[in-house]
Amino acid sequence: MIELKDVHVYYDKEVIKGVNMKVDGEKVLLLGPNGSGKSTLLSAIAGIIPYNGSIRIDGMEVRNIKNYNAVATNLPQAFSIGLTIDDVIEIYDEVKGLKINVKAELEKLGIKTNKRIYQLSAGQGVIVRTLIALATDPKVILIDEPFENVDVAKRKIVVNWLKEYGKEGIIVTHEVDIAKQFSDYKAFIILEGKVFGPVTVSDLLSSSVVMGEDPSALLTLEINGRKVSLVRGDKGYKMDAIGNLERLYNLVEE
Amino acid sequence: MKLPLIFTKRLLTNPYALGWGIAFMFFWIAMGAFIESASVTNSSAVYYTASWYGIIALLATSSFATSIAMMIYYQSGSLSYFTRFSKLTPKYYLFSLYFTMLVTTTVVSVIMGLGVISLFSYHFGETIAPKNWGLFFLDAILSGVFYLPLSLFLEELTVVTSRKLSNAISFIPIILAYLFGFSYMNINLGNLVYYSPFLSIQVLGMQSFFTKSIPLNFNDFKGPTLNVYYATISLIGWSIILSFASMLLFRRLYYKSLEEARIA
Repeated sequence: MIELKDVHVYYDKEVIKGVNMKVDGEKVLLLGPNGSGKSTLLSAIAGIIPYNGSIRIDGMEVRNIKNYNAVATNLPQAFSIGLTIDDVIEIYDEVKGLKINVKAELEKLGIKTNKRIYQLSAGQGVIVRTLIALATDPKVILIDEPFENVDVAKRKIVVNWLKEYGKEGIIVTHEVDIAKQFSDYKAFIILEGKVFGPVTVSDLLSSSVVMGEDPSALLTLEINGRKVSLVRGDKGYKMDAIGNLERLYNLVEE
Repeated sequence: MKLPLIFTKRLLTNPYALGWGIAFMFFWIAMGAFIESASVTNSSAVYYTASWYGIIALLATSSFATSIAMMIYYQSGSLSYFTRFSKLTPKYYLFSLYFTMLVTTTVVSVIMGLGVISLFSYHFGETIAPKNWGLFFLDAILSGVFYLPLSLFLEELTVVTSRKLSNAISFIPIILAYLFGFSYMNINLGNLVYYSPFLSIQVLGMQSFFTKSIPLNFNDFKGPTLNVYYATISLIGWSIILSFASMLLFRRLYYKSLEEARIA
């Protein structure tokens, strides 16, 4: 179980603003536009950056956890320990344990493992990191933008990996379209460092966006200080036609 | 044992470390053997050669220490994650680094030793080699054991405080090595030899070429002589202090963007 209580993260300014969130025994999507704080929140949960408040994984406070080998992430920071893909595979096998033959899987996808990590294309990098993370057969997955720059054919493979591995966790994306692949999952939405939800992905995608606070709303968001409601029916802008969540800001400005 | 072997392989095949730590050192060895030696008589050839070995041992290992610091620079982002969510413990990570540094300094000291022995012996027309091989290798090992926690501590300090300091701080070991190394040959430093780990590395390297104690001050043959135990204990003491300091900071590491180190 992942439980966040009043979580704040600061860089030069506050980027995560009092997030409360609970993921209990299931995989959820965290949707948000670029710069909304998705990766920052995931980094804090993965123990990579400091935070204020409380983040607990299976009852343990993340800042105090030592050697709990049940959590995996594909965040790039977790892969800087090796120079080549082969190095990273070897190191992961030793310190986390790999349950599948990553090298063979990557070669099937046309990725040579003697390459240096930084020589990979953006899409290849995402695939390599996601596969290595999931190959540790983790209980909890923290997956950041697994479809970013990945071509359409390989996206289906990544979807299958994400459905197969990990008992619970958070999958972050800014693409509403890809969320359709996970229609039975719950989704949280992150905007300007605040998290809203959950709502089921199928409800989210079939909802419409209307300005203001609607009493029958599935979910009420706050964008640039203005309330926006996601409601059932067709009376506003259809969510599944939006494509990505940046468009919500355009709708508010219109 | 995969981690220490991967680190060792990476360091021993790092072209920058090999360039600065070995190729550039051979430039200094050749300078000492053929250019600077013009006025050296055969009666002082051993002392002269030993002094060059002392400084080469100091500079070569400092170059590798800087390379290790750069390795840590890139890896420190992973450590906060791995120590929480994998079987990697600070002890095992540090063991891997110590293993890497010990193997590397041993290999480098053999190469540097062979370089000094062959070129200086060729120039002076007599075989000049260490008399105390135990001290020769002990010096190499102790220099690695000192330089590693120094580099680790400095790198951790930049992650905990500000990455902006990284570019300057990574080179501190090599800058201090040059500073102390050449100061020893030109200035009477007295007991500072025992307090400075850099000087201790240098004088122990020199001492390995003799059976009798060498002068404490490079140019003062009538003054006090070197106490090998004091220099060894000083070096071990510094290594222990820096190891504890680096271990204390280790658990406080969090990722800081490498871009923060950019100054332009």
